[in-house]
Amino acid sequence: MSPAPPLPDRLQEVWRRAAGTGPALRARFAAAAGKVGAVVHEAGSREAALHLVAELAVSQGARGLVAADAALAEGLARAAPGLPVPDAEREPGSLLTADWGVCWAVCGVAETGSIIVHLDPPDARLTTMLPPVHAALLPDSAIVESLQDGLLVTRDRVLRLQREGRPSYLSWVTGPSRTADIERVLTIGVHGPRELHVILVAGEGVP
Amino acid sequence: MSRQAEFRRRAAEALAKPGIRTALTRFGSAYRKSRADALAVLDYEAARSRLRASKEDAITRLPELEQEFIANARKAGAIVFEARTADEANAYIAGVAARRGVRLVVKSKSMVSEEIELNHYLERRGITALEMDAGEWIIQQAGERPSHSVMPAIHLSKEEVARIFTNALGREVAPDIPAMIGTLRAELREKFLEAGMGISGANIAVAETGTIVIVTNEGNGRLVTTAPPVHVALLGYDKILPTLEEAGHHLTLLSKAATAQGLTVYTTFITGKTGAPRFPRPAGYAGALEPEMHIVLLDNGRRAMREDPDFREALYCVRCASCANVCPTYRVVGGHVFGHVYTAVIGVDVTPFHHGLEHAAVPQEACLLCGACVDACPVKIDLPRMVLRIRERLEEQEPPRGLRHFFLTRVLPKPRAFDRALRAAGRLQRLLPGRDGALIRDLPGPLRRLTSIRSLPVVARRPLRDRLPEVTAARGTRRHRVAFFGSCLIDYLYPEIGEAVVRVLRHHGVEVCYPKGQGCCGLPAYYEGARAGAGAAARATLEALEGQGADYILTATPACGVALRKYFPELLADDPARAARAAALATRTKEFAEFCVEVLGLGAPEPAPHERATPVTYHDSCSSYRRLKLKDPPRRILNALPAYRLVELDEVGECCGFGGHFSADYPEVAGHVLERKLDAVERTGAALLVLDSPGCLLHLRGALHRQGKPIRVRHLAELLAEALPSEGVP
Repeated sequence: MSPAPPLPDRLQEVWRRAAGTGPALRARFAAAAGKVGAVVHEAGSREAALHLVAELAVSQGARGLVAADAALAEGLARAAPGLPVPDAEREPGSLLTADWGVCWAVCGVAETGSIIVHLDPPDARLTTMLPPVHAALLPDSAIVESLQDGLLVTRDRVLRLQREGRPSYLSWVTGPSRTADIERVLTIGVHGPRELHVILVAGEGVP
Repeated sequence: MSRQAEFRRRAAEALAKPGIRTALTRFGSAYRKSRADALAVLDYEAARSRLRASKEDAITRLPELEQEFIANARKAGAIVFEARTADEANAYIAGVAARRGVRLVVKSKSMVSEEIELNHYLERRGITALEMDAGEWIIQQAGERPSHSVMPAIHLSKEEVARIFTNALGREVAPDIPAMIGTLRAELREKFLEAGMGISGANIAVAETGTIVIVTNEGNGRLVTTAPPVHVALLGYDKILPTLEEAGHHLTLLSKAATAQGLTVYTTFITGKTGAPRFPRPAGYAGALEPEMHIVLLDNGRRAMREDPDFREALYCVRCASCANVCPTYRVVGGHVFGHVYTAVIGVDVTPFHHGLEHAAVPQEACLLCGACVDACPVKIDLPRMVLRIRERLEEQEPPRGLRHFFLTRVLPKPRAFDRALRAAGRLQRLLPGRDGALIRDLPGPLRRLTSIRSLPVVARRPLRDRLPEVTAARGTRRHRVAFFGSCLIDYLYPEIGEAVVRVLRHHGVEVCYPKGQGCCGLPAYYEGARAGAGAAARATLEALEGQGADYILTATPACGVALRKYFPELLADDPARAARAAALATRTKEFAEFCVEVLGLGAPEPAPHERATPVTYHDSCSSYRRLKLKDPPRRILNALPAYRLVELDEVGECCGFGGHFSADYPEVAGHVLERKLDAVERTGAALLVLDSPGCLLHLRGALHRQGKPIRVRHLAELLAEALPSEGVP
């Protein structure tokens, strides 16, 4: 067996393949994510995505959102006038009361329907854990084919930070929180969100 | 109390709670299907070979990977502690908690923390440790230990769980599952915020980056490792893999095998501590606020396991609990009987190293040695093989005495002594009352257990060795010469099966010699850990079967086939010349149906039954189906018999509960396994049950007789012999 090519080359190859099969990958991702209980939406632009999240939250009677970063908070506030949308890092108290947590995902994995969330600041990360609903924006160009491809993306991110002596925290999220611990009856929404929305955002460019 | 008596006592306790086996049996059947669906997307055999190779490599390189992991985790800011023992790990974690002023610890699921009894250790030092996984929380409130490593509370009904909720929360909670989970979420949410420390396990550790990987479904793992300022990850040092990509084989199979999911909901990759969140802590919060991550790498017997060639592969385990889910006896008694801290057969296998051999002595009795777990294991661990090693080590430690041991070591390995003993037993049996032809319905006194779930066959007046000449000539031209190893079951209990085998063979041009020096293959001794007795029997069998000028050795008792083919070379390993002879013998040994199909060219790939064909069903013995992988040959034979139409059983390949000594020692447990098999037989509507193993025949025919069910049980050889044209016709 010949040694595997270096990591950056293989990563480039993963993204090249992903770019070549975009629409098919998106469809496969949407089907797999739907199968595990995520709700997948499509948006033509970042603005459209923010409006979609705001509309969904309002239609569900949300009283407050919390965003993982300041830019997202601002964008959502514009899209949902009248709804408080604090930035989790600036106002961490809002994590305890918000109904919706909103963040960007860095990658989607078509094989498993997973999104990869890479949020190192703990308050930002809690937007994906504490509110009962989690909405993740995912650039539709950032979907890779297989679990193994997704691990390559993960490895690359972890390794780059670790080499600089920096910690990291990445989560693959595959559907909403669930348990079958009592009589094996599937119950959605335990400690994590009971609803997971993934918004595929077009026009974000190549990762 | 003997370990048999203690096992019987524990099993009786579990059997008195029918909820356990109802839950586990229902789960086992549903699991079988959902797991198969989840695994259908990949090539299971190729995937488990890859995972096996990956774990083998990692365990081989472990000392080097461990150093790499520690260095990289430290580089990312984690504090790494290597604990040699449970006490060292407990003391370290309690020390961190004390130094940080922590009063409440929240935990995500960690079997290692159960292994070292961390919760009790912390409680005794005034620190509350609260389980946050739903199943673990329920078990903790009930004061029990997990009965299953993936679903800790699988043995409890929702009514029992509601009572546990009611007691724990001091208010009435109804047995409504979604409502109970909602209550749990609300009750525990505050605890995540209030805790000064979170303790997690880890499914994988990555050497290249110092990362730990945690797999959870509920989301407790991420909260435990994010909300409190301090995170302690507690893991066995065997969890280290070289790179993050290498984890792919592991994650894919783990989630599919464990819970039939494509991937578990949350797979989290944590490298160092990225900080402490700044949300306002509740009033009860105690502890410092600076972020810290500690990694406790535990040995506690793992290094010894790695050094022990018999047990090293136990370190390849990914904790998916497949071995529990498919285990026939686990499904009857549950993990509190079949397990110490770690449950089911893998639990038994690792117990000697984590907790001491003596703690494995009673739970290991639950293993039937059927091998269903080996086929289900995503890492291909030979789990029952380690049970045998445990039995042997128990015997070494405390050599058993008594009649049974005398029989296994002094009588069974000596063909002439064995012959005399069986003939004498037959004479005694014929003096007993309660006989119905060739079957005894009830044995008296201490032997009662042998007939509590099945009638027992009477030793034949004329065993096969008295009926057959040394050599039976082939009909017509001789094509092959085989030495027939009759087995004690066929020779002394069912000589008519042996005669049927010989009729079929000679009809097809096979000369059959029946070496009279043969006795028992020694398997009963081997399966009970009496290795010396098994070795002596292997030597005697080898002597008897060699030098017959036979092209093949033939058995019609698959368990003996397993002994000859799989165990003899290993049993005789300390005598290399003999071991080589045994290995040569093994390659020439064939099972009856296998020989008929592969050598004689009998059988047909597709069924072509006559339109008035009789429906029959077929039971695979574990020895042929699991150990020898001979699912196909008997079906091909049946296909070629137009008088019969095969109706397959539900859950093909499931054990019937015979298990040699198991059903004699523990009929109460074996009886439940048996009932499932009989139910499956009855559901086919067939009045004839065909099989290839005289052991299963003894068990199933005896049980059907005892229950007065009009289903006949025959060996495949008998059907084939009856279909032959009568003698004299060319």
